Amino acid sequence: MKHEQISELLPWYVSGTLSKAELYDVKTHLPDCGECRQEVEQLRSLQKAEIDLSAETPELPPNLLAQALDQIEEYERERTGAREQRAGAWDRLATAWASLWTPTPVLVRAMVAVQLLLLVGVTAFYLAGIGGDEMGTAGGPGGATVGARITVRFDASASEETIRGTLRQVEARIVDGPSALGLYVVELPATLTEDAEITRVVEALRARTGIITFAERKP
Amino acid sequence: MQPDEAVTGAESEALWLRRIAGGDRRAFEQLYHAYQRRVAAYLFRLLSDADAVGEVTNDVMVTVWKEAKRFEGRSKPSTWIFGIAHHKALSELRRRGRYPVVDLDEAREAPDGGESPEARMTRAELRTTLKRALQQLSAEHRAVIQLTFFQNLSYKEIAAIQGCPVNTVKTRMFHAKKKLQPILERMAIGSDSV
Repeated sequence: MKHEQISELLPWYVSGTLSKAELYDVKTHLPDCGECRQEVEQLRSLQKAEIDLSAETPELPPNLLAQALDQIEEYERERTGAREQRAGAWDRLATAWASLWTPTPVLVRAMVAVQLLLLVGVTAFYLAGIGGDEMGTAGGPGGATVGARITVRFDASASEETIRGTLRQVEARIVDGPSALGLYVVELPATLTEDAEITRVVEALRARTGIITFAERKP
Repeated sequence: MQPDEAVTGAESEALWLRRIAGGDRRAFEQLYHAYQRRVAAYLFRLLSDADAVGEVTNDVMVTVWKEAKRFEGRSKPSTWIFGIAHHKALSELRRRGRYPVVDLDEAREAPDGGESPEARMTRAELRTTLKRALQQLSAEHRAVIQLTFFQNLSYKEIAAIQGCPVNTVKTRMFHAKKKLQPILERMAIGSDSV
């Protein structure tokens, strides 16, 4: 290999990414070429400066991964989730509606009609917020204050009982999920406002490695 | 959260990408932890904007999620991921009207030879001057130097990332180095005398 060809390989000789054959060529050339040896020294200075400069990359915000997961959730929801949910709901409704008009005994039709009415009633009941007591509200009855929220994922092997116990310990309640990616959102009591306290809760959740595999405060 | 295991290497990363293509968010977290800092360092060198780095890093990683099905294993996962990062960084620079950042021949701030002030500089001052000159190279030249010396990627991988022939990568390195030559020579003299 000619001197010029060797010379242009030197940056990658310094970074250690040449092929074996190229490395052999460079190594056999260097002892006989002062110019290339000098070049290697200069490239090492350049390497050091670049490493120093790149090491000055600022610290990234701590909740970046949670933000990325949120973006992915949104993307997945838009891509598949909403479409499937719409299709599923429509299919169920269409089936129930069609069954009303098929030549089945009057009793069966009446039962289906009652079920439909019940479904509408229960939905309205929850939408009106009357049934909220069972789940509890962080700010008490009528309280509009919202507590800090944490995105969590539970270990697949964790039992419902251990999950419930863990959440009770930190007075958290599930307010959303599971998402298409298996994430839940839990809310802490609205009285917990200090960042340090909330961070402690997040860390406590992360420490329950057998139950919780991911926990990050929602931005 | 910690990554499950200290799994490294192109094979493991290719496996993560296949799992991500299948919707495995845990694999995404592992890949995210493995690449977040590296991608951020690359973007920071190209954008020189601390505020934008986090956002663009996430943009890159979310694109990895969306496009994972397109990864065919013809290149290393790192080449593919840095290709996305490179594209995002240049798009961001174009959006800001900062591309090309500084043409090589117009980088007057960079030392251009002769018995310039750097001849009287101490070694520490020369290092600072070199770093400043590195920041003033064009984005493509900064990219080649960063990918070579910080990311330790081969010139073939860099060509794939930048979407250009390998000779272009070598030429970019040659011109970038030529621009920095006066400082590098001075540093070599300094190291002899110090």
